[in-house]
Amino acid sequence: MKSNLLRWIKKVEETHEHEIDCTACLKHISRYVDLELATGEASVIMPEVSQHLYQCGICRDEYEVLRELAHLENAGEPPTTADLVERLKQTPRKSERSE
Amino acid sequence: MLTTRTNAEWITALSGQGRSQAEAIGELRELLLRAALYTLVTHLDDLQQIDENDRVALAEDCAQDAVQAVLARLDDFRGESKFTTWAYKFGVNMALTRARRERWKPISLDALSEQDDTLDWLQWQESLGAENSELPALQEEVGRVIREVIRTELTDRQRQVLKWIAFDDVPMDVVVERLASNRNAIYKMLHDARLKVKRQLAAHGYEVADVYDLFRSG
Repeated sequence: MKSNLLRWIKKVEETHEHEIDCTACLKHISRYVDLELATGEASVIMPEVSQHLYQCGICRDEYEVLRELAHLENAGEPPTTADLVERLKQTPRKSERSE
Repeated sequence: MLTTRTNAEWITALSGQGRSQAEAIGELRELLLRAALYTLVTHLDDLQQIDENDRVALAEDCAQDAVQAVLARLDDFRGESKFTTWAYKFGVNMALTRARRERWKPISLDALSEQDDTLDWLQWQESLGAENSELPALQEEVGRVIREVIRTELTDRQRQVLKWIAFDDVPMDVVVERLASNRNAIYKMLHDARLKVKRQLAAHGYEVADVYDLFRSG
């Protein structure tokens, strides 16, 4: 709980009067990802998106996965469907694990 | 095997007809299945309740929904990014949303609901450090301001949403689903709460950066 309070106070500190919402963030997220991969400066060029990603956990999750995928695509190393299916099946269901 | 298409080639083929459109849709499906699978693979903790084969079926469902979403929104693509990045977004969004909901399906938010107005969930560990004996009193004073804002300036629903998302780590889209709301409305509630606390702290003469340091040292 205490760490959540600290994290939230930090977010209060970083609060702006005007913040874009999730729809606006996701509208620009693909551009933000490509910009970040190309320049590393997306947070400077698109500060409102950056600020929203700081404040919004689920948009940030989506951004991080999207960035990883786009990076792999750009590198010519997108994971294969077969490999991903194999990995998805690897971890057994919780109820099947031994205590 | 996916062909390498330019943005214009993607849009032309997907918007067209016949064999070229069918081929493009097939490639799009493969792309979005990859996005959904990758998303679920990187969030396996959310899928512990699900059988391995059902996880693959979940990915396929998400991919199919994402294909429909992309085709319905082709006119929204403005070429500001690569088409593949833009399309991946739909697959990632669908898969993450479903994964989080699966994880939280067995959990009732009622158990996490406020039972009274004591705000006992808004607590911190008092600083017992000997170096600054004024710390606990300062923490109490600032904490009182924060509690007062939350108690008197937020609606009951807003206070509940704040507790769930910021303090109980419930994902926003789980809250959205349970409250039959939408992400923007929930985000606005949280933003409004942060803004009110920030303004009141300032009105009482506190810099929020100092408030963070005050509680961090506890």
